[in-house]
Amino acid sequence: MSLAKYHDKVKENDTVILYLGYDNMHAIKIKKGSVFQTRYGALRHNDIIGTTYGSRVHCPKGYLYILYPTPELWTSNLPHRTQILYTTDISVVSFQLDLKPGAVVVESGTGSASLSHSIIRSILPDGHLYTFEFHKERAQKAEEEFKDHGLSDYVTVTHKDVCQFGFDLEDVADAVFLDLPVPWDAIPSAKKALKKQGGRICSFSPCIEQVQKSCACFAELGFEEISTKECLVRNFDVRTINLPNPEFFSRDKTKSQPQKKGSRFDRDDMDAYSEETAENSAQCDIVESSDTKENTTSEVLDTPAWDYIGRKTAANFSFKAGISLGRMPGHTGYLTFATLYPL
Amino acid sequence: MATSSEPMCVDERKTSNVTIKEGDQAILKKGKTVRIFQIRKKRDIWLDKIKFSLDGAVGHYYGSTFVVKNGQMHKVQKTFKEAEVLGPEKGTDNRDLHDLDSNQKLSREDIEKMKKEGAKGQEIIEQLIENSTTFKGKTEYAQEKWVKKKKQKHVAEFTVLKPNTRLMCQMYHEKSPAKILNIRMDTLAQILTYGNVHAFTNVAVVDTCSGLVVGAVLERLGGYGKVFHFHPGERPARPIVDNLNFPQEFLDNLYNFPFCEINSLKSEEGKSDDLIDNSHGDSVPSEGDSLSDTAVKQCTDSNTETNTGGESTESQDKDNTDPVARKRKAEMSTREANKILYSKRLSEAKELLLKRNIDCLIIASKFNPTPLVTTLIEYVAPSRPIVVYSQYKEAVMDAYAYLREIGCLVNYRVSETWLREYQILPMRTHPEIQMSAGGGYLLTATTIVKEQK
Repeated sequence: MSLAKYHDKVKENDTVILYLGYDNMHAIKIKKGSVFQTRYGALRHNDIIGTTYGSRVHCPKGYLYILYPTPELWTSNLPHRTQILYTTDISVVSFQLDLKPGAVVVESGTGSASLSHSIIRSILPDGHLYTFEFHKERAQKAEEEFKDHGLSDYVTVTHKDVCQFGFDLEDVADAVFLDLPVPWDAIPSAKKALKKQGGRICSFSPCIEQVQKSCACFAELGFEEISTKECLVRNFDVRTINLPNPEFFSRDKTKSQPQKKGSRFDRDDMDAYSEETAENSAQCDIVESSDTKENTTSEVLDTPAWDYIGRKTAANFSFKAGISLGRMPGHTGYLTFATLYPL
Repeated sequence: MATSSEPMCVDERKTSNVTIKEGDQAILKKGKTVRIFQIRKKRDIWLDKIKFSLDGAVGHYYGSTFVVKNGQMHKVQKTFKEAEVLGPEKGTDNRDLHDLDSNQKLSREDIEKMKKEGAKGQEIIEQLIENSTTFKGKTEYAQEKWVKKKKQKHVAEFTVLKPNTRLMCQMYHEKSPAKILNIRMDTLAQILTYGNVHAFTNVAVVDTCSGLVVGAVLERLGGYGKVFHFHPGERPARPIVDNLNFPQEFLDNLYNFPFCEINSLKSEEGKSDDLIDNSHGDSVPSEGDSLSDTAVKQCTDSNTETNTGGESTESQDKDNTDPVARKRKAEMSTREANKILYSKRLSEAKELLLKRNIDCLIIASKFNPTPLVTTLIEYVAPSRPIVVYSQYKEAVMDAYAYLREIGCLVNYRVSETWLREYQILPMRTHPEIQMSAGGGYLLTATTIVKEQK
């Protein structure tokens, strides 16, 4: 199988992404006779082999979808051996390093190869990634994964501590990426690895002190356009919200109805409302509940044009909103980019 | 324990891409000022109130820095560092410093005189320092900041860069963000990554952002794979694709698809002939437009040659004596040829789209995305990403709601990214004082095999 090129049907030894629902996916390697246990029951690999990617597959208690592994889906589902870079940062790195087919990239450390997969995807078929990892088993695991994913032709994995011994590459790279605790130890060697005609470099560091030292090192070695950025992602949950209009009078106690809480925010069952696999999911629930609430006063009010962003009845104001709930990633790392110009 | 994979050799064509050539589109960068020009010998340009020709740049590497002297560019080594001009004297704080024009003894005329006499940038700055009554009282940090500012103002050094998506996005975002629908670089980065845009994929793009997204996609495809540019009107407006100066092989893979043809695509099932219909009237691309066909260009060129007194072809012998009639006849035959080619390309595009194996659908336009995505999703293969961009969250949410209703996608995500830049200096590290307020919103999702209901 290959992350390099899409193909239509699931084959043995493919890595596939099982999509069960919102935030519920698994990456599995297809092997004849194997069984994978899901919340919907057992999934036999034999049943998947030969199906078209994107198909729905049924299990005893439900169904799921078989998706083709893109580097993004792989990043969300790969086994972590280290903290990884997520797609938000990966996107910015790929863009800022001007990655494209034919680019030669040098990377250290490989880690769990999350970024590596993405780099390879962007530079194939005539580019190459030289990736360095000082942990022997991680280097081996990365190599196995590249092989499994049909990417071996585009990457060279080296087990080496580049901070101590350097990259041992000269005038080959269009771009260098460093994700190291002590990047300034590797920056001189990285400069040598870059092509004489110039190139781009990126250093990813969680701590500002590391960034300060790296920037000083870049400046000292003649890199230019040194720029540090950070990129965060904010997801929105799209839901219909009902805000009940307050009552400014007291109801007769015998006819009183308990005022239900306005939005669906307070459901404890966090999965249900965003469930993708069930066709008529919680979206329907919300609509239903608003219908029953409006039984008594269901006429839509005549709203002035400038006031229109939702539906208003005597009882409620209903609108579709994108909500960000709870927590969001507040920091992953600082991305420092620089350019090496030709002399 | 390196494995034995070897990289492909960098071929001649790629190496020659790194030197500045006549006819190239080149970016001139001075500090934050980024402008793009086409390099034409003996043609003067204006940049930062200075008039000069670009001849001096030709033959050097991209990334070289030049200084302008007497209207000509001269290559220089990198500019001097601020620290080099600072003397040992410095103050501790600004309690006694007053901000007055009279602090600087040199007048504007004095400085202009120095520049005319060919004084180097460093010399000018040193003179400014000498003639400043307050400089020595500033702190070291204040001195550095002051020198940096003076450099920006008085030192006319430009770096010549090869245009790429990153630089074009930066340029447009700073100067005319509305032309690219306010797509910020991190948003564009997400679009390309979530769309899994790479070699050998076929990408359908709805783009009304001056071709920024089409250009970015073409760059990531590297010539492998096809791009279908859906656009309003008869001809696409994509100046950024022109600026990116792609080789013809890349552009041969770019198909134009006007919105007005979408309905006929829907009713196309099976039919592929007879598309030379008159519904789009005078649809001939005029000279200034970007033509995506080698043949069309050659047609235009050969007819231009005929115009300027070359060999007469076809039935022009009769009108030998009348140059006006000859010209008109030549133009008409160009138009005819273009019309035929245009139809041919369009029918080719339709044929390809009808295979329903598009690998990625990207929508980044000023139009309501919902009808676009619900219509075009028909032609996307299963288990492929789609990305919808809008400056407005409501538009993205609407598309999301309709797509959920249709039920042809999973793994939905509505998101925005937030970008912050930092000033990193010893004892002066902090986020930049200003940051971008918004970069737009994205809907990403993955197609599935549509169940027969």
